Amino acid sequence: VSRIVWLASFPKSGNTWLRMALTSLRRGGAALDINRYLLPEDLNAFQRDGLDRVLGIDTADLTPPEIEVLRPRAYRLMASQLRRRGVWKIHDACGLTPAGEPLIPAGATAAILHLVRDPRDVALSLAHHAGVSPDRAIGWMSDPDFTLSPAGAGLRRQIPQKVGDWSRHVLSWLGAQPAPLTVRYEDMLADPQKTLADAGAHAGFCVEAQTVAAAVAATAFSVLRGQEQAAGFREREVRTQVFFRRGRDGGWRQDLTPAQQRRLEQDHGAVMSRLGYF
Amino acid sequence: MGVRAQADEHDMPLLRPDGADGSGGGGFLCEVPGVARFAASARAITVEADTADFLTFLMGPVLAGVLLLRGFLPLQAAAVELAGRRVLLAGPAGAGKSTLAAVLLRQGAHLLADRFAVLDADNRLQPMPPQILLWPDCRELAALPPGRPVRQVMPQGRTVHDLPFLPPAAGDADLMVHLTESPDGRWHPPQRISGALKLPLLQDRLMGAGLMTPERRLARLTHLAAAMPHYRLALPWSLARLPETAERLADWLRGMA
Repeated sequence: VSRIVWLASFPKSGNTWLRMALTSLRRGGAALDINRYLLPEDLNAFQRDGLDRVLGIDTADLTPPEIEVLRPRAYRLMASQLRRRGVWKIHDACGLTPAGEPLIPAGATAAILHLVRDPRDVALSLAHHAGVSPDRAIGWMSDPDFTLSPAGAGLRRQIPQKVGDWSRHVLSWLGAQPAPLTVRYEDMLADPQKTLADAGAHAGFCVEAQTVAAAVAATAFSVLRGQEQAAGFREREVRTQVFFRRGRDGGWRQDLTPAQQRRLEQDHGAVMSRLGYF
Repeated sequence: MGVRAQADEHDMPLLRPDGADGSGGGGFLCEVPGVARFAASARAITVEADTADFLTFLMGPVLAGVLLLRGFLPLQAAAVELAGRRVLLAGPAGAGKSTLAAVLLRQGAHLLADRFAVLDADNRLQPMPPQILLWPDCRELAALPPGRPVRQVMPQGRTVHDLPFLPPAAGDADLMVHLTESPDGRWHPPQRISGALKLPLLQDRLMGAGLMTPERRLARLTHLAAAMPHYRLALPWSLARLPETAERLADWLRGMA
């Protein structure tokens, strides 16, 4: 049952924003509440309780490799229970499980939207989101073992997600099957109407021009930020003051030191060039 | 009896009814790749174990499934007795059920159940082993001595802790508290959940839900929803603030008329 539209990205690349726009698009361009925007068919690949429910056992009893091996099966099962095509958020690199099976099951996949952002802006956003220095965030982005919600002293609601370094993460999704549509965060800012229409069409959703325009307006950065200021945002990290912070590109020019810029360009220059960032 | 393999098992839940019609009337299978396979009915469990870690699953989802087949209701919840009330602490994995239960022990609570709680047809809470399973950070917070690893392959992971044995006794559960995350990390008194809002929460907390027909499940959970008050309690993000939450929750329970 090919009902999953994967919305894949390295963390802090605009995944939540695009997902909200796709939600509004499927609701005819309706306004949305940022704390209740997910449609029933929209799931997160990393949500532990979703895996527990569909597998029938408690993943807290499993080792991280055991969980990883079971993920494709869980996704196939979850996809078979969907009534409609859903947009699923994922931050893992696209690869194989320890059993050699693709993490993203082809049979359950309808389409892949791959969201990318200039890594120099990702570094700033990641540092802010995690409450760490830019240098630390830059270190994570060059760490082949970078993992979200890593197994450790306690249990987390999210399962461990192998993200890896920024370059390999991007390359892993560029080579994914079925062929993804790569969406640049910067293009969402510059031409949201066209970018959302392209993304929606690739995902198989209705992209009538008026609806796209309404969805763009409903999820304008200023609207989302206003809602967060008024009522908070449940996806905000504990150490972060705001989730919807700037919504612009090129902040790295002022906020990263020349040495930090150089390190990112040295570590990721080849992939940055391929994406038009360098 | 050997545990039967099924051709398309790679697209099936790990725990599933053992019957072509999916009714679950005859029993169920539970396979944990690399660890064990179980075939169970209301009367017997057959195990093909690859490692000693099979015990973790035997005493967890398999036991819960057998109890379900016997007419009991296994719930993803811990349970404590405090201030004369039997309280179910329900939530998904990682919600903080065991940790809150462990911290409540220091407020004078008695543990009634940890891995899962079991109700009979009259919603009476059934006695469970006096053990609590904790991750290292939670064990430290609860100031319990080191315990035994839940999984031998994860010696640094979750551990089992034996608590003083209390004479087992079944009794009515007085209330059910569904744990969520605090929106701002602060204490908020439990909020009463009303009407049909209880059902989806209970549906998510029922263990082995796939072994029951939807009609039976709805009838049973509706009965449970009506049997006791249900509350939503938002836990703080920070473990360090959990003792304060436990203290306030204990005061709140003591203050209930």
